[in-house]
Amino acid sequence: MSPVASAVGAPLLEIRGLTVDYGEGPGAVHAVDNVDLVLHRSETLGLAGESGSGKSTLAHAVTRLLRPPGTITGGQVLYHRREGKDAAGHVSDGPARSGPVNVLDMTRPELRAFRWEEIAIVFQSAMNALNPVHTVLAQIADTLKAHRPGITRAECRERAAHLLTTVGVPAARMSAYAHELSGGMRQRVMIAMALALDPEILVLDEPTTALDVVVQREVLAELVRLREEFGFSVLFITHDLSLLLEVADRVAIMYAGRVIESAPAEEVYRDPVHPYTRGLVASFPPLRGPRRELAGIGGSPPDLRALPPGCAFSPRCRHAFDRCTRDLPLLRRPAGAPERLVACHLDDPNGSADDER
Amino acid sequence: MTQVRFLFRRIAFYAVTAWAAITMNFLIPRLMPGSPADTVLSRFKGQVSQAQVDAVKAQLGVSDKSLMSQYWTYWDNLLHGDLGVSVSYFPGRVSEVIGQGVWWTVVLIGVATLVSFVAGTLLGVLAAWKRGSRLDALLPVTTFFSAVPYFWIALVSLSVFGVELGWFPITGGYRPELQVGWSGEFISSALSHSVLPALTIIVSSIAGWLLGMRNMMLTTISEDYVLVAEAKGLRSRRVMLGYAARNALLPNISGFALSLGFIVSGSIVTETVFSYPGIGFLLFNAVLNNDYPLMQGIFLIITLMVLLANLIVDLCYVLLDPRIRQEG
Repeated sequence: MSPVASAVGAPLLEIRGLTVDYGEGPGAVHAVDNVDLVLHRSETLGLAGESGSGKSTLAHAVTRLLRPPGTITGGQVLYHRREGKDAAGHVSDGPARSGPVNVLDMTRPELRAFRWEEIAIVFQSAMNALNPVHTVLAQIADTLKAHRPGITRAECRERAAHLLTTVGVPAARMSAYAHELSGGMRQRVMIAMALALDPEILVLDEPTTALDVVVQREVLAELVRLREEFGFSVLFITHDLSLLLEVADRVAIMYAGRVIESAPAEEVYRDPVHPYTRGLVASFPPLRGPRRELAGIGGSPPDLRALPPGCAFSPRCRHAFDRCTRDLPLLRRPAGAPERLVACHLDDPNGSADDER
Repeated sequence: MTQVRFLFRRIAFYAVTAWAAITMNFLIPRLMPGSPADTVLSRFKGQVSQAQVDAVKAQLGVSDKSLMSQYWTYWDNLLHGDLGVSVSYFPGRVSEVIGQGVWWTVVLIGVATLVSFVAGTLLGVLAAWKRGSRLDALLPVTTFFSAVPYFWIALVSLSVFGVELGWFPITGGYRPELQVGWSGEFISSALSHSVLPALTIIVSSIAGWLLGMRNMMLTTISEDYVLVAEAKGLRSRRVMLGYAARNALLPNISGFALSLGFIVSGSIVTETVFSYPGIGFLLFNAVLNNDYPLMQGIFLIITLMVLLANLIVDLCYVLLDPRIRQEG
């Protein structure tokens, strides 16, 4: 049941059977439940879902930034290192160690070296993500100093100036504090900071949600441009599916801690299969094409403490039949769609309504 | 540039406050019925001549001139360091009496408060960073000591460590037969006399700093920028001190500024229990003896010290929090 490699490149980050619980024992909530996802080199993978669907928890688990009471209770996060880079991310002359590393098995020093060097994160609210009492320069410089021992102050300044210019912020703003910058500028600074070590993966956790629409557009355009320039892969998390369809190569939809559909963005938009995805696509207006009636999804997000048996979406699903409330649908590849995975009993040749096994 | 303007504004603010405090200090005793001269003369039960009355009045600075001219005289004397004559230490000058006591207090209570603040804050940082560990046991223990009335702790420790065990002297600031000065014997005597009062102050006040810092740290730790600092792969100690504690410290600094104001006034109980020759002990005696000039002098010193401490903390705040520089 491993997802198909898309045309973009070799796998870079493989999430296998990742499960995250909040709390312990029988009362534990599975915020992320047995999730498989693959991020390929130079790919933008979109992760969409309602609040509480587990998408941010997934991002925090992958980077091991989960805080108590969240704990990873199962699965692997395999990172495929670029040839010739050692665990600390430095390009070494020695023979390259082959094979992926499991991020969840890393020791603290390994993890410290891995962070930001390989995976950098941009959070939703840049106001809170920048330390209010340190200048932009200080916050970029401490990252550089932590990963490049021996770097001089002048080199830090130079690098900071270069990074800020790259994201369209005047280099002189490096001596500014967070409160002296506008919302859009702050988010650009965060992006610049994320690029400081030239990471392989950029995790964007709702990067534009706190911005107004115009600034949102500018920041997005900037991200797309930077991706082309630097060639990093992106894990883009948002509840805004319309935005995702525009920037992502592939989209995975999460519901109640599970991935319920994943496919190339174009296919998700044109031909969503899972009833939940269909509901999401139908709930925003198309920019082009014929006008159509907007429809919401009835009901409310599920209570993770008391999920219904079978498919978690079944209580809200108009197409639910008796099997949906009995068996948990697993991700499978529907016929004639090699790049798509869906977890739904509808159209399942192995077990539809009248095919009881 | 904004910093300079901010500093100028703060200093101007404190200058105005100091002026108001000094003026109040001048006015209040003069608006009260009776005068210090009456207190002194009452001891002689009317057995004095008019010439003696005039002499005492002149010595105590009591005059029948207008309030305004008294006010100018007051300022003139003040700027020359002349605070009048003490009644209870008659004919000692107030400035000399205070000058002898103030250093005992500033050193003892100042050092104790500083140690308590620094230790409590550091322990608070650690307790928050390693929450759920054994360090959490600090909370109930220290809170117990701050909940118990201070004079009780002071008396019990005096009785246990001073009287029963005899580890520390029980009264005074130094052995009375010694000469005050920079001799080794005097300094070691002063140190051993200060241990008990200092420890009781630290034990009873550390919980406030510890709890305050721990709670602020817990709030700060959940901020996104701490998460980002961690995600950047910074060392745990750098995240704890440079991001979490650095930001959580700000409210504790304000608390410290306020507590500096209580250094002098809060020393009354300590110095009374331990018969310590500081300014609190002087104030206590001044009140008992209706020594208005001395009280007035001590209040003036307290006011000026509070203002000075707050000014210093304000300046530190400017260095620590860039957001302050814009407002104010």
